[in-house]
Amino acid sequence: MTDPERYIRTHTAEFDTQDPAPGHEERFLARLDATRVLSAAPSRPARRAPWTSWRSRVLFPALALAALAAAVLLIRPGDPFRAAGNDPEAIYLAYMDQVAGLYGALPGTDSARRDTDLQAITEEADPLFAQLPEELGSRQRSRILKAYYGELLERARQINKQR
Amino acid sequence: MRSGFRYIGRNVSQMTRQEITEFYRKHHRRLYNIAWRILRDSGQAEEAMQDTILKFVSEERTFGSDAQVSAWLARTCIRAAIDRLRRRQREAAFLADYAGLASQQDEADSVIPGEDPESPGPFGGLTVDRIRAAMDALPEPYRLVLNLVLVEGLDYAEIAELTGRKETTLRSLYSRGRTRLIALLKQATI
Repeated sequence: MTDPERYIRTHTAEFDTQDPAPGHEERFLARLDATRVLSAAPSRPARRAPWTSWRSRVLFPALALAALAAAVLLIRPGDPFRAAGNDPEAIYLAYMDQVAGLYGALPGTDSARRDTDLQAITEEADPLFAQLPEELGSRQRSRILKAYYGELLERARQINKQR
Repeated sequence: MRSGFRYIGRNVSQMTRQEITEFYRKHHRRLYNIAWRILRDSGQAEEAMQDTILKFVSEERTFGSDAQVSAWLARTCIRAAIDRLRRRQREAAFLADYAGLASQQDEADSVIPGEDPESPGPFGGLTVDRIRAAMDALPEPYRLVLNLVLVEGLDYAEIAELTGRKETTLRSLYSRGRTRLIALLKQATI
């Protein structure tokens, strides 16, 4: 009989059989570079005149163009939360703006009843935004908030369309 | 042969990118496996492993020996993995509530896949694969403590410091986990 405990203790190195997913070293080096750039950044901006640096003439415009291209590619038109990114608070504020817009959008008859319906759908006694725990991380909270508030807005728009 | 040990006796925050890359290649697999055994999630294990190495290379200190470095890395990685495990458990609990789902925690009766029934002895022929499968089938607290005691070689005081649990609790978890592990290994030979 072989004792499992003794067996494990004498074969510990053999338990290291898993490998990280391909590309892990590149991901690590990217993180390393980002960390080092952040830690090397001066706490105060340099006083050098901006036009004297080649960065201001070449790098910054290139970065601006890249950011613009990314924005065009990544931001879906019609997405009410497009400017909010993964910032939960900005998503909630964007939602409130949209709701305000819905109240103001419609004229028509029976606006009192429409307002009551809108209120019933869009108002939260305790906003979900404030209930989600920080531990979820901003990306996950943002995903939940976008799905939830997007659904509320869709229903609220349906009310306006029906009037 | 000093190339692999150039960080010994130096402030490690002064390591060059090339030295860090060599250091990463030397240590990443062990750290990844330490984290993987705790988290059983490739992405999270990679994060914990990389966080550990990034933390190491930003330390403003010197290490006297490679063994000291290894010990520091292992403990830091275990701590990082346990932190993630706790966070994941809190998130799972929250999301289960949010979705109105019932909690399904207890996997205590899980059965490991059958292995060679003709192997000798009450446990059959012990292999790393069989033991790993049996350990994977254990419920979370048992698996964690067995891994830390048997595979990582930590003592109860160290585990208590890392997990925030009392040593008596850890000894009890270890004892019960060991019993379950043996039962699973025997079961797999029937």
